[in-house]
Amino acid sequence: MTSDDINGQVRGFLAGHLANPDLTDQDDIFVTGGASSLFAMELVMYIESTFEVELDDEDLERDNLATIGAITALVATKRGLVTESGDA
Amino acid sequence: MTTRGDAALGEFREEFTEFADRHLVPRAAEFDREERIPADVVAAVVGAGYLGSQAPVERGGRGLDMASYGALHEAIGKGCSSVRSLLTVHDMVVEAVLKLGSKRLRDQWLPALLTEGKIAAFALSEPQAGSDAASIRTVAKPDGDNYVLRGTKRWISFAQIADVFLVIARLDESGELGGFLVPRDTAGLEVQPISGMMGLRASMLGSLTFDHCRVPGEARVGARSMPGALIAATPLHLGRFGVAWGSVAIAQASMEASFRYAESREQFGKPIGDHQLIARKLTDMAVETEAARLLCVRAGELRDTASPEAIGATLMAKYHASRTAVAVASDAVQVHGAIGVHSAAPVERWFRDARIMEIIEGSTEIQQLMIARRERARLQRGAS
Repeated sequence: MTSDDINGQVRGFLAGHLANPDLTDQDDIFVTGGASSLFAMELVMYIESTFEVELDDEDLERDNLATIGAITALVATKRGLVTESGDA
Repeated sequence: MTTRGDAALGEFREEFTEFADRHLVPRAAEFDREERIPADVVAAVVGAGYLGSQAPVERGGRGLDMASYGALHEAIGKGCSSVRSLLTVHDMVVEAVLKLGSKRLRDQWLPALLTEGKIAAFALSEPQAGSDAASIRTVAKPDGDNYVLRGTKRWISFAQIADVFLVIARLDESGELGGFLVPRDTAGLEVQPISGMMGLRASMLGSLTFDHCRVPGEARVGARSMPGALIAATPLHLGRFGVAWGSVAIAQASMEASFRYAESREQFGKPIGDHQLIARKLTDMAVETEAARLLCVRAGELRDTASPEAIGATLMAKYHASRTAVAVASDAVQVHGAIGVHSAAPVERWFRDARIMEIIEGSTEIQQLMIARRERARLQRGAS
């Protein structure tokens, strides 16, 4: 699975769950996407079950979960797809 | 957490029911009347491992899967809804520490909450903030390595006996909600008991006042800036599941009592259960209770597989089960007639307790809003 695969799946999940389905990689889903408080938890469960990763307490920062780009980077890191230089 | 088979679930049910029959059923009316759960009963609950029972065995919990956890809430709830409420609020705090807390926080607090008998309570509601968590006014202001809490919490179940509170407060630096574990004896925290509740009268409610209450930064649960009120949503997700099963408990107890009474009470020369209007009530009670139970079972199955769909399923289970509890307990009062509105009959207490289930852990109206939004989105994306 590549970062592009992760990005596509996350985008598809968000498009099916949020009021604004046309999000860029940088749009804040909690501001422009209309994500509710409950959705944050659903998102965490989706990430863990879909990408088979376990999110630790320090992973649950707003900055890691607020945009498609950030979620993609988080999952890529958890799956070991990111090098020390940050290249995926 | 592992999912167990029917045989193990049956053994759990037997154990939980035996506990309730021994410790709760004979004294539930007394707890209700005196608006407190005696210390020996709390100790028995702790000793049985019923607090934080969803936590892994290696952490000191019982590692119950959600079917077994539901069975626990049903059995304890049939005995005494207030004691079942103790399980909910304590478990919500354990859930937050388990899922959102740092390793340091988990190591510090889980032994106390799971094996040493410390009681935890969940402090979210405020005089101006109930369903609308976004309007929380309690503020946590950073001060060096500490936070200083200011504000008031109200309607906090088991505030009267809790050793530690998970306090949801607005973070001064980011505006997001954060959680803090605040021991009862912290300077600047005052607890005032609340009495006179309609139902769950033994839940030992209280108000909390934080007046420049200083807590160390390590007391904070979760990352520095969690999104979307995750600190409140995570424990509430478990709390709703417990309340849903507790509602099934009230409905089941009310239904069983009504069948027994309708069999024994004769009017116009035959048991009242043989009169068609009463038979119809009994039928509705049985069917609606079973429907509520099945929604709870479904939610539990989804939770055990960590499916995101568990969130919607839990909302539906809580919504339907709490409304069912009210309807069934109300019909039970009607079936019982005059004795049904006297404190000598458990159905009178169950009716009052049922009414609370539609309010706690998200009111019926909030569940309706959330379910409608989710179903609309689901239909729009063509999900079945």
